[in-house]
Amino acid sequence: MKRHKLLPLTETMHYILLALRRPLHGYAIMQEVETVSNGEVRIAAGTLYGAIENLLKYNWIILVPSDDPRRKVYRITDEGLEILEIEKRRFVHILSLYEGGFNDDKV
Amino acid sequence: MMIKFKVFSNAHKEEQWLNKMLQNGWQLKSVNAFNVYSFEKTSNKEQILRLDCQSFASEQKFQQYKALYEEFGWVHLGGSRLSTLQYWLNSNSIDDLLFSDQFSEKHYLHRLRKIYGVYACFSLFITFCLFQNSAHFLTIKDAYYTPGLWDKNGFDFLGAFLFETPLAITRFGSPWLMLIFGLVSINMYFKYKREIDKSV
Repeated sequence: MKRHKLLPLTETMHYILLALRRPLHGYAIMQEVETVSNGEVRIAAGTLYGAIENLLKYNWIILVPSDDPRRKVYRITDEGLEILEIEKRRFVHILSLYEGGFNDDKV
Repeated sequence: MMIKFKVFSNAHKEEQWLNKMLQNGWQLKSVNAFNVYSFEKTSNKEQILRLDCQSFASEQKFQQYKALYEEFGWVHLGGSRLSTLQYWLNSNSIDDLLFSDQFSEKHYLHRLRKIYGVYACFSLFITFCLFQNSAHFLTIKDAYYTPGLWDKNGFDFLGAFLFETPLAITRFGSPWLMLIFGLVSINMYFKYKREIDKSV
């Protein structure tokens, strides 16, 4: 199977998808990501906007109806969760290589 | 209050110029589609101005875009739904960039490149049509339409001449201007392309 063109995810995309496992509006996504990354990742406005547009385009996240028409709330879709699952497998694999996987297998 | 007219072929240079004006104490107030910039005196030199390149399919999308940036503390100074360039000012010095990763920075360059590609195709097409359909671009005298103008004398001539001159200059100059605009756009297109290739 051919890998999706957005894979592997950029750090920004990754954090956004993880954050959107619960519904959040734009600015709250940035705050959440900043908190969980221990202040390491601070997403700028344009980057967040572009990432949201991209994720919406591939239907990895969707708009959640909300009262405030200017403040849009998003959450992850099943397709988005699948992408996270793919990425998780990739990370687990790389992690296993970190932890001596190279030595045990035939090179 | 200061008003300036300036044409840029490059969004990066435009951004630099606007930030230099800011350092000199002149903050952009607004800018219109004809590149007329209005500035206001400011003592806050900590601010920073950034350009984004976006246009929107609907007014609603445009409002959403603005709402998101405003939450980050950016103030929209110029640009409309279809204007492509959007002007943003930030007064908190933490978020001084619109793009925080390489992926999105590159996409910004892609959008700029696309715009110049469209400008180039459009203006070269118009240039072609103008050169094809008119014969006034070689001698400016042919661009004067007034019948018997060159046989007139004195005030009669002067009046008709002055009346027709702006029209003649438009007829004579527009294909050349379009051509220049088209060539500048092509140049910018490839400049952004090189910048994108370099950033891979």
